[in-house]
Amino acid sequence: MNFEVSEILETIKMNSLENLDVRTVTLGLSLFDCISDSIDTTAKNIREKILTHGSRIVDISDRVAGRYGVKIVNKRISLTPLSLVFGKERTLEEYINAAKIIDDTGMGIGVDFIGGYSALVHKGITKSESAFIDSIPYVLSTTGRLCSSVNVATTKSGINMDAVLRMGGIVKKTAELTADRQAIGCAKLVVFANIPEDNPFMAGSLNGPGEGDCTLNVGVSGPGVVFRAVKELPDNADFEIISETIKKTAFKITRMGELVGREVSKELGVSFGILDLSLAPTPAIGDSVADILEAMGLEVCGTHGTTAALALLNDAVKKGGAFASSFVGGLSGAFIPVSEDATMERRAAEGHLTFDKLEAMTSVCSVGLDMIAIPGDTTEETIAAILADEISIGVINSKTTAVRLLPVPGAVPGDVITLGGLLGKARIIPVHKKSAEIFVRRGGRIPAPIQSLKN
Amino acid sequence: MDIRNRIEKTVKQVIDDELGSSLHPDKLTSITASISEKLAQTVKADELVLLGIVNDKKENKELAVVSVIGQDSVGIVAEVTRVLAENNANIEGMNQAIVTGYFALILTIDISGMNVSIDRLQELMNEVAGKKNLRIYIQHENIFRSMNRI
Repeated sequence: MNFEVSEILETIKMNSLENLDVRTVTLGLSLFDCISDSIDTTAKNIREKILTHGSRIVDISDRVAGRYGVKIVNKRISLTPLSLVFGKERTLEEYINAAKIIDDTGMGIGVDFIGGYSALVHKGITKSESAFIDSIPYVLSTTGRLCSSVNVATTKSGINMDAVLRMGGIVKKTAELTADRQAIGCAKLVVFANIPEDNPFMAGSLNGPGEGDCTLNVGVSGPGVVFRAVKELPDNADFEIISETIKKTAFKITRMGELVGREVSKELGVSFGILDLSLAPTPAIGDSVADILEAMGLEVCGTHGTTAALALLNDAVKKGGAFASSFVGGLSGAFIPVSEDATMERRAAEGHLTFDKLEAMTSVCSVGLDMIAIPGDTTEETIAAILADEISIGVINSKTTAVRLLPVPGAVPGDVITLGGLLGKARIIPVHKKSAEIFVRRGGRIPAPIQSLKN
Repeated sequence: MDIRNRIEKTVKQVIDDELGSSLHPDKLTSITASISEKLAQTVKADELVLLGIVNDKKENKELAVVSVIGQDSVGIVAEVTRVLAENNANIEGMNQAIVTGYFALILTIDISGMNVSIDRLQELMNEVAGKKNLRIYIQHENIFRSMNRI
């Protein structure tokens, strides 16, 4: 036999007991060849393109998953930012109708999400982008699978504070329009700095303008596997041992994801893009990033030392993954979506994990303030100030940061909302009460930082 | 004609061309046999594969790993191997152990000649698993290769 029994049993244990899975295979489609003067024709062209390339994605993914005995949890599609594809300014009704055609197509072929109701406005907002952004709350409240993202800053261009303020209002409006469903619309809306063009994870997935015609990107996950590996180490194992253990585990997870991803792309007849190695937690017990941090020796996630532990984890994950695959991309790192991580949600509910600590943590891990439920009376200016803080961390550190907040209408700190599925549940956590209105309403752009002057 | 015969024939031809009738035919035969013998000792089987002199029969195989885990009972191996035989999956390797009180059987099988798909084989194994209170996983060997080999 080519393999040791222990190697085989370890793989089985990872797959069946420790929630190791391919979180998503995401088919990225370029839509520039779908553009037409009529938005209705454009939407129908998009439908045809999705059906041509993506109609078999669910069947093929399930078949490949069966062959290797691993789960592929989600099958998704990402699109060229639709603000670019829809072209000139349209009416709200036109945007909604087009969005529904795309959303229905996704439902028809059985994909879980479609990403790309997006705009890139990090330097400025055109008239048509302005109308498009205004449509986001209405589109998210009337569609099921379509996800939206807006890039408001890059390290190269600085922060478009007009866009940041605008998005404060859009987040708030989206929450209001989906108030009857606990602000679920906000779970499909992310505000970004340095948005990646090939990220397979939702809600921020899109197929960037620099991408090819049709590419498969894969997101793997496995906090549970890393947790078991760290948990088995003795208390006196030093940091080198912890780092090595995480690296080795990340290597195995990445290789598994790449194998499955390449196989699915081969059968679909599309090129393999990147592998996004992200520790994406789920509400399932034992599939938590916070558990890993606590296994390293923190009494609770959120206490002093949490940022350092997360930095170590994030770095080791990247190093292991980078060795395992030549095309690591997307977000690649550890996610800290509060509602989606059972232990993180519990620590936030207990008051150990505060808003400010979460913000500090985002400076050393991938993405940002994610799936945090905040009081319904939070003003759009305060939301804009939260966005500005988080976005500036990304811009200054030349990394991606993003914000996905749920200002649940009528909810106050301590209330619990249940979103279901991978989105989990969340207790409303307090935000600072003092105003930043004058600051966020100054208008204009925060200049690009000195780090951008690299040429 | 097998590899050894071909080598002997070529060597014989070269010596015959060079030395002609000056060499006794019996001597010629013993020299070629000796060269062939020495070559067989020097060149290994997989080197012959590398040189393209012989075909690697393994190329045509497609391996999968069947892992059977659960509580021990009479007839597990018989049931599992019956299903494999019925579907023309050849067993290439077998390893059985009791791991922390649990029965563990790992089979490497060649699925290239199977008369059902790997999905269908998994379904048939699930029936066995249900009957004997086991868990049976069938996974293509590539997953173990990708996760455990650089």
